[in-house]
Amino acid sequence: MAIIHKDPPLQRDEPDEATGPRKLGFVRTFSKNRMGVVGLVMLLVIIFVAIFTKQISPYDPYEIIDVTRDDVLAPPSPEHLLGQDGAGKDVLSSVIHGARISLTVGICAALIIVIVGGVLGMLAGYFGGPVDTIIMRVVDVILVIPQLPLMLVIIAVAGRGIVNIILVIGLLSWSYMARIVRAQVLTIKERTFILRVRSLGVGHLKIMVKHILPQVAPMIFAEATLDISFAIISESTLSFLGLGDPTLISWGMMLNQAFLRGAITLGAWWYLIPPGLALAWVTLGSTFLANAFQEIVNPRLKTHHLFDERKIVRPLELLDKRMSRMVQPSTTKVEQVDIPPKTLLCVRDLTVEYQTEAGNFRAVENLTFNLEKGKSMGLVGESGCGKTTAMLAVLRLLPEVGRIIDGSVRFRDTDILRVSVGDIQNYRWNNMSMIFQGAMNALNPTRTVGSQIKEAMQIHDWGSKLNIQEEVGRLLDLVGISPDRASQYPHEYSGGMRQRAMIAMAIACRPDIVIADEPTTALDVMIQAQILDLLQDLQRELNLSIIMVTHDLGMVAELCDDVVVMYGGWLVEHASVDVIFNNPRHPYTQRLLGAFPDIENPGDELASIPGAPPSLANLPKGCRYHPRCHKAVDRCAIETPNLYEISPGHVLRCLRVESDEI
Amino acid sequence: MHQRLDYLIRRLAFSVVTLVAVLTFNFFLFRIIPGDPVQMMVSPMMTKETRDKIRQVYGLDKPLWLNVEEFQEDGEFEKLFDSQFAYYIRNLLKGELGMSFRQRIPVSEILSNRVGPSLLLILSGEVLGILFGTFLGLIAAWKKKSMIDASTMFVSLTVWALPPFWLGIIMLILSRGHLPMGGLVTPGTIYASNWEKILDIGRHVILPATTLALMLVGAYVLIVRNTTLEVLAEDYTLTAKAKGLTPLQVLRYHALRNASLPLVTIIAMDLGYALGGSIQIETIFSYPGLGRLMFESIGQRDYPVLQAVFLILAVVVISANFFADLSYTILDPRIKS
Amino acid sequence: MSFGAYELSQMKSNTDRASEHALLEVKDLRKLFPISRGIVGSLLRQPPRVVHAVDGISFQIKKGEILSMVGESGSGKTTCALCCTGLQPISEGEILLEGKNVFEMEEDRQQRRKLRQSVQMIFQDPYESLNPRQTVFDTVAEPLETHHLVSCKEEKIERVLNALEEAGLKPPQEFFDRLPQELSGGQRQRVAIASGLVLHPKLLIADEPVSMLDVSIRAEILNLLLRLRDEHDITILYITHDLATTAHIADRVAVMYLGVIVEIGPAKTVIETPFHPYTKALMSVIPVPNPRRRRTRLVLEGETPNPINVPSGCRFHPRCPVAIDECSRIVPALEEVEPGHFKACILSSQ
Repeated sequence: MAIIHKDPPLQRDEPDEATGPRKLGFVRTFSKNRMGVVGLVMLLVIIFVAIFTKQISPYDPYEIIDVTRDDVLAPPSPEHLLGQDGAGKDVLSSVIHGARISLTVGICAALIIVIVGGVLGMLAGYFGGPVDTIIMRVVDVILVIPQLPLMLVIIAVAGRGIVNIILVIGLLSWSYMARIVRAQVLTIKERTFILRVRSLGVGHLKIMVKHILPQVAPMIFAEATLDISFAIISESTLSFLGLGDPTLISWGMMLNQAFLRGAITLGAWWYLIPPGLALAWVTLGSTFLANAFQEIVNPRLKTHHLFDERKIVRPLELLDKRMSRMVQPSTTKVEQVDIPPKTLLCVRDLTVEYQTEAGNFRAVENLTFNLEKGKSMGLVGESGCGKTTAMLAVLRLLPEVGRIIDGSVRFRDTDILRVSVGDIQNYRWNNMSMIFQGAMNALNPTRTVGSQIKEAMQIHDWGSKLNIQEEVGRLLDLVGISPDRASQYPHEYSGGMRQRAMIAMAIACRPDIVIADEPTTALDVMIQAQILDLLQDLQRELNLSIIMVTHDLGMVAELCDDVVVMYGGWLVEHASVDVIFNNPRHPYTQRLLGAFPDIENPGDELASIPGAPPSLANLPKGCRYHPRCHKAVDRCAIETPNLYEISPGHVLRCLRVESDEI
Repeated sequence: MHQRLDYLIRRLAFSVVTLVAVLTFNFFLFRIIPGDPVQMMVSPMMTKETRDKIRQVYGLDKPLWLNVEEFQEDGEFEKLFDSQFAYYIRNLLKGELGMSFRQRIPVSEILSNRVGPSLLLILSGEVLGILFGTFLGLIAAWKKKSMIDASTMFVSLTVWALPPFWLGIIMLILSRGHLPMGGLVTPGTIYASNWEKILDIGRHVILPATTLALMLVGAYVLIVRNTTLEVLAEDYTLTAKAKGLTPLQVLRYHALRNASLPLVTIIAMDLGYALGGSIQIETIFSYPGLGRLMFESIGQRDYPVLQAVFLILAVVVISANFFADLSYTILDPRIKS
Repeated sequence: MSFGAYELSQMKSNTDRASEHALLEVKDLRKLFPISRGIVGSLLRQPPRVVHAVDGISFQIKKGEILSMVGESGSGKTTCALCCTGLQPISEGEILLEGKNVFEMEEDRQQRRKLRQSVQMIFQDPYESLNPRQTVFDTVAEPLETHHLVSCKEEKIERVLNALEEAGLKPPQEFFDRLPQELSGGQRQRVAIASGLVLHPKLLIADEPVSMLDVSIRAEILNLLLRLRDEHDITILYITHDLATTAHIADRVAVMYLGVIVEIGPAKTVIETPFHPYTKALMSVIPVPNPRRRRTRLVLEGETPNPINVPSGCRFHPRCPVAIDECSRIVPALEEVEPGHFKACILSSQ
């Protein structure tokens, strides 16, 4: 059995958005995995054969029969479809009977593995301390000793017999299961709901059985399926090497006999291929099945960042083709023609969708705003409002399920949504860079911080212009990190320092715009203030435009010139920071401000908005905010408000404000 | 710094403990067989002189574990350890591994002839397996859900699932007539030059080595693909992409290193599996290595040889695991502090 | 400084309600986590290192009072909270619940049961606090089953109904069969609160209960906590890093730094007129949602030191903008500067 995980693979719960549809049931998810279904069918066939052996088998291979010379190694014939073996017996019958042996060994050994390994792993993981140490040392010792030689030696001494074989296989193979169960239990044990249940006074046994076991069970099941196939291979290998149970006919024994009687040189393929094929059938079936379980249990392996990027903007290409054939009315009332000269970034009607197995979700719709050189903008909203999605879309960094289905993003004169992948790679970091949300792992832990900053400059050919090493030092110094720390690794930096290093890297190529997505979440209040100061300084010194994506209105007030408020994928209000804070017109903005605590007026009542931000799966009809709006009337549930300009530089999306009702 | 040293000391202690466990196990296994344990060591086919010599060398008339009676008689502390187990350890340290039942020559002599071919087989199989495994695993992960990935996955899973001995049988059947069917050299040949001899050996090794490589590639592709998938889904990959790196650049400068680090440990962890495979492969190809020796000695009930081969294999795997831990501390900067 | 009517009424009824006896009393609490020296370290006889998570704090909470513990990472506030539940053993000091030593209660099985029923904890992450495979009903009913508090099914249903309703989930029956993933963050937090409420606890320890919730629904949860205090006399220990929300819920505030309390007093005075330099700095840097206000921000340099290497004398002195020489030698004790308002600083307040 070849181990293919250095650290045991962990089962992950799929992260869900604010509210999600009930996860696709296990059966449905499984049925979509073709490999898994094939594996299941293959195994069911074998189980069928093992149960109905007597009915299917043409002869009984255990029966002593008279054989003639002609019967020995006879090729296939009408009476013997797969020919006869070295003792004259019918090969097909032997193969059919072998199924029972293999399955018996496989399932019994797997049971031993699950019970011994599962229990010991659970105990070791849950109780820790000396219990854990002892169990794990034993496990480690067993895992290090080479398995097949050990099995050979034990069986050679203890004697051939099916019980011995099952015991030896089971008792030598449980250690890997123990290890992976322990690793999973360790993670689960630390989860908050376990802590909460402990604080309720629930006992250890109940916690292990009721709360932890259901979480580990899928993974145990996946590994057990694999163990069945490993046990079958082990038994057949032992038999092949001459240590199988001589009283039973197993596939391994058949191959052993075939080999010893020189079937290969004699070309008796009917003796060699069928048992091997049967073995292959069972082991492949359970491997496919186990692999399918693994993919369900470990869902993160579904997608990664290096897919074909052109997918993201494919809908735009199709849209453009259709547009060139007909004229379409504009969807917003904001003028598209008039682009002020100092405009750096001009976003129009940006619409982004997530196309997943569970359906299509519109995360951003008709986002429109301008950004001037040297000015900073705050992009504000709560969960599900689409602010992060919108910024990822600007740089075309959406995940594989994301699609930009409408809109344009003009950087200076070029619509960067419509340039080639090669071109957008040039724009990235050079003109616009991004600091990601919750980015504690945004730096590669196996490379020095300095080398990663250097890389940014090398990719964009800054090397010819300056001494890059010096520049790295200068950048670190600029953000308040000592330059000799460039040769250190990210884990040697504190959280605040890592964020500063990210900022240093983000400005390495002197971009015009830096998008900072929640740059201070998970950082202490004082560190937040330091980072805020740093951003303000950089803004001034480098004439940098910062787009600050955040839910923290205080930060926006300190740093930004303009504010865009988003809700449920829509832009609901856009104005200068003064106007937003002192004269907001949209009901959501008004209430949101009231919900934000003001330390300088601690007596003010803290407002809240009833309900919760909508999930993308259930967007309200009409105005997306109307269910929670304190100014809503009947038509808000039917008509969709459009963006309109209430006064120069103040854009709004509300039916009632538009018609001067409020 | 201290953490690293601590870790190494602990791993060394662990290796030593495992080694002691293996030695003890090896010792006792062959002495708990029902019947006269002496018969395990002393085959009736040997001459009386040989049998007496063996009794003397192995202290077969002494107690098994601790010699309490002689100690109580003499009062000398050393006498306590005048036991079979002590003889066993002392002999091991001298390199004395016993006498083969069948061949009636020292086991150590038999072993020394077989180590070379096994080494050649395992090294070539591993190198091929690692190269192809890493390359295919990276590509398969990158081009997830494409035909390349699907076919690589299918072939790797299949090869990983099949019993190695059957793989060997298939290879033999397929290559009938094109390549030698077994052995290390064509028997009876006289070589004009060393180069010819090397070529001949090569022609004989290529099938078994390829079979071993095939067996390992399945596992290595799967591990590299899994680790690469994880690496490519990490935040730092998104950062690299945002910096403007092309996919190939991301693979080369970020994924390759992070995804292949765990492979180092896996190679050591799966060395036992590789050795198990080599037993089967050498058997099928009649390849004169340690694996085939093990197979032969099972059939011939040549227990001293069996015991000795097992010991060597275990020592090799234990050491390999230790060296893998050692190199991991050098390669992974996170272990440093 | 103006206070809303709500707040005013609160302050008034608090003084009526507050009894003389403390519900929770913490005396000289110390929690140290030893760090293993390893084999090499022991051989080289290196001095053993310790994490000073909580390094000598004392405070009281009166029945029906809401005390807020404010601090950044490394301040020890969460460790202190866990110690108060009895789940985390302490190194030194005493924790008394209604006069009885919490850790003696832990030893005795019956007493331990009572302790679990009396002290309940609410955690920060609503997405992690609930078992993803348990329905709302099972989650809230579990404490009843564990403590054998109900004799029949009807009683169980009734108590779960009440708890859910108290926690603001209406109509409660509709939530019985829901799984956590079908609920919003705010709803999940309410379910977690309900599962604690069902035991009729005396003390509720809330560890950052709203920091992971959307801004627009934070006030609801905070108001829920206030209502629980008003209607059921539940005492609350509110742990947070967010001084701003503290103002809206707390009667008293304790500010922690690196394992010790540096300032403690009525919420109004600590927030409006802080005495300790750390509190002053914290107050000044909290972002305020008003672009026109330009205050002087006292941004401290550096980061909170590692709790392993605690600075000598006053722990805050390396970062303190007004530190003098003595600050590195003298460990300041809490002294009263106003009635009920204490600070740990040797400098006289400006």
